[in-house]
Amino acid sequence: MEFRFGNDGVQISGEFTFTDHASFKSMIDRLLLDGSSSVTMDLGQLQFIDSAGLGMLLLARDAFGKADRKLVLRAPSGQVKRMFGLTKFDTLFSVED
Amino acid sequence: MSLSQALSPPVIQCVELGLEGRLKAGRERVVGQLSLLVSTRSAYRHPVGRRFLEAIEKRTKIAGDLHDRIGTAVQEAVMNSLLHGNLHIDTQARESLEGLNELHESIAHELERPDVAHCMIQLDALWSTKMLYVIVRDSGVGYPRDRLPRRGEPDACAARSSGRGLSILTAVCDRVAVIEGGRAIRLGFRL
Repeated sequence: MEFRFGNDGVQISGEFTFTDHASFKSMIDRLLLDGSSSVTMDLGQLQFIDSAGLGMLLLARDAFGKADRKLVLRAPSGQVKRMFGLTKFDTLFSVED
Repeated sequence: MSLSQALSPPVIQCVELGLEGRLKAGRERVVGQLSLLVSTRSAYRHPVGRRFLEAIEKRTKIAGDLHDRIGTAVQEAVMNSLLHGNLHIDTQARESLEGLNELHESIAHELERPDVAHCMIQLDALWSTKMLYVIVRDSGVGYPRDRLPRRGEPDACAARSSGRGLSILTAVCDRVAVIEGGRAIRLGFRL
């Protein structure tokens, strides 16, 4: 998994799997330092996600929720979008096309 | 040599150096087959499931949404075998953001132990003109087959940060069977 910080959040690309927990944690820690009310994760370039990746997104949602901030997932496509549909993630998150 | 190169046709068996003689051979009548035997350490550090799928695709046609379904299922099965079968990782470590660092350190610690790092993960693909089966085997103690949810059954872990892997498996495969006392899982796909 690779990520790049932007003005309103972060763009994630590559493959987000069970080996990415340490890098994901450090990415979220950095985003939590920012004080904006909403954080966007742009998933447009993310090619693959597994159930551990989905689980980490849920942990991030809860962490931002505790800080009274909203996590928005943007532009999932391909296998990632299908995983969101399969696990009904679109009912657990704010997902934008 | 990369794993992709090592799995290139006409290879039918690829065994990591140091694990020679530990491949479980099947006797199924099939059109084609491919086997990969790697250590836990290698399977954790490299995307072996995706490379294995690419190697299957060089040998038989994978059409439509099958690529994503097989890739998703093999990834879940390999992850399950690694984390729970060989590394004995407690899923509670994945229940909090703070737990992720602890999880990372725990896995790194386990992978430093030669007896754990060299435990095997075996992937076998067997295909006919109609079906493809992928079998993922680990070195763990296994788990009861009734842990596998039925297709369409509501996912009890839907809103939790871990535990949805087996539900995903039943949703994306045409057939799933827990075999060999839970030390292996067989994933079936109609071609």
